[in-house]
Amino acid sequence: MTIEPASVHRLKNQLAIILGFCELLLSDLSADHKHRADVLQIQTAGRTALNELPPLATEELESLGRTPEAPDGE
Amino acid sequence: MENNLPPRGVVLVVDDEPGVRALARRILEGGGYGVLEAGNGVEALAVINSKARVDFLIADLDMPVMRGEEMTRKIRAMRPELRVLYVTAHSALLFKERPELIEGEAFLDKPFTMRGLLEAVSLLKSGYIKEPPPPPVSPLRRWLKALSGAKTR
Repeated sequence: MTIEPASVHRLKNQLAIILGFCELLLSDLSADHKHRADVLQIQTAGRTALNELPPLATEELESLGRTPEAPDGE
Repeated sequence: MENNLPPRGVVLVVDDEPGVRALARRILEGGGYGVLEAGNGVEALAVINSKARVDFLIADLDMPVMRGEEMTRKIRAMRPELRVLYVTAHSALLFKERPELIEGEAFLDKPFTMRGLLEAVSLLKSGYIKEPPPPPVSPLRRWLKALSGAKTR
């Protein structure tokens, strides 16, 4: 199964948000908080999903952000 | 008004993803920074033109409407002293567009951690990470070190 470069980019952004808020939550939850293990599960799943994303080649990277509404240059 | 100034400066976070901006805001405000947000380069230029206080710029590279590199070039033409942290999920793209970062610029890989973001902004601000300095070597440790050196001779 291949994933479009733009989808890889969007997924990476969404996983960055999930992992970032997991870290914020974990920094607030005490070690024995009843939801700590749940947040750790989300964090682990997020990291696993991130590692599943394929790296993008340079030409794929260059195509990012060049959406129809994006003017090229000035 | 002066009393409400954030102690460590104001960061303009530019990212087309609202969740990334919200995450950066939570982390940076927790670290003592004020935060302004823009969803693309055009909005960011409007903030800069508004003369609002901005000390640091955090720029996503891969944005629609105006690419991050183009945006920072325009902003730095107006505010050359502004320090810029590029945040990108694809650092290879940054280094293709900008083979060398100039003074006052740095980059951070996305996903970033709380510590990673705060350290990167701290480094941009002062050239060092705001952490307690390492403890001085105690006289006892100095004496033990001298003693162990003497034994090897």
